[in-house]
Amino acid sequence: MNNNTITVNIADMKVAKSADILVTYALGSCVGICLYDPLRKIGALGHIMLPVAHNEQDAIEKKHRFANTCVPEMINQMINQGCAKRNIVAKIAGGATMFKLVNSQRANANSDLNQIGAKNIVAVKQSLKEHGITLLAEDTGADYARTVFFNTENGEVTIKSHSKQVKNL
Amino acid sequence: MSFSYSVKEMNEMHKSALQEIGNIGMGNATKSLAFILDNQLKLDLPSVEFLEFDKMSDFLDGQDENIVLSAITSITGEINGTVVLVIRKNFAMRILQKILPGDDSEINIDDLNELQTSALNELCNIFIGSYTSAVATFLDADIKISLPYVCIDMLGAVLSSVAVELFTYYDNILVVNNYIESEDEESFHMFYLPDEESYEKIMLKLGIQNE
Repeated sequence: MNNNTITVNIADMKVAKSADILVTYALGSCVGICLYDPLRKIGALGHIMLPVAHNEQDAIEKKHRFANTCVPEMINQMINQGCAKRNIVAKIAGGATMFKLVNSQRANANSDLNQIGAKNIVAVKQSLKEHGITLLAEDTGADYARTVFFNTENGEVTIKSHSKQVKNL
Repeated sequence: MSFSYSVKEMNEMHKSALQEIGNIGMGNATKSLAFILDNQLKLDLPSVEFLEFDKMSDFLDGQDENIVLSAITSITGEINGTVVLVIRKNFAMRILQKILPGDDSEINIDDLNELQTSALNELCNIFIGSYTSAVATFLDADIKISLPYVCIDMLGAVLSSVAVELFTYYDNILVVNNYIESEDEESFHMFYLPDEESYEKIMLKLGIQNE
């Protein structure tokens, strides 16, 4: 195997060509967005933390941190590399609710702590829809962390998690 | 804001004040730990680091997928903030074995029974409680400690999920990181994250004036 593995950090995004493997580790409430052009065999992987940028400055300076700014940036960079927007398809993973409240019947379970993952998923889907990108598959929600491997040779996304079976999207 | 919340601009006196707070909390938490472990663990003086969550990837340094037991509690009242406990899997299992005498079977962290789960939750309560109560006493602050949220999973996912909650409001997060580490992949971290408004209050409470 002579394909490169390229790591995408938290609030980061990278574009790669076949047969590179894009990988992002330990998605919790964050969402990993895999965009793929099967004709050009070019893929982009974004690791977003939050749904929406709250101000202009963040939207410009930290575009990889937010769903609504990362998705268009990924599309633009893919177009710059020769992809056609109409060919780009998406697979997403993450958006988990990591923490459980100890003895939840005693406490007010309606806490913000458990809502970011779900909000991230909604925001990513919204953004994909706005840009006319078809969502092919997802492994989202639940309560466990995921590591995502994205093979730009065939667009296959492999999800690895602790104590769960490996899953292919 | 007269006090700089940015680590880069923080002066030495402010740094030592936060270090002292961390040491006092950690000292109390490790007292509970030493008691449970029957002094089998050598407890060095805790170290303190200042981290910005912006540089979280550097901090994780490839340890993203390590499995940890983690608990998070929010402090509210006179001062607000978050306390996060992170214990490496092996160490958490050793502590658990210690407090469940008679349980000779190898404890599997992925398949805990009801007793083991409740013991783990109680451990998190004890460590976080002893840390925060020592901090509150030291600062003479009237605070409430929420029940902890608990999770066993990859370190990267745990820390980023905590960070996003705070990133919603702040851009840089000050982290007072106390930890003990030993061989055999055993480590025990306590992170204290005072929020921006409370940071100023803490300094004033300690009688530290801004120059």
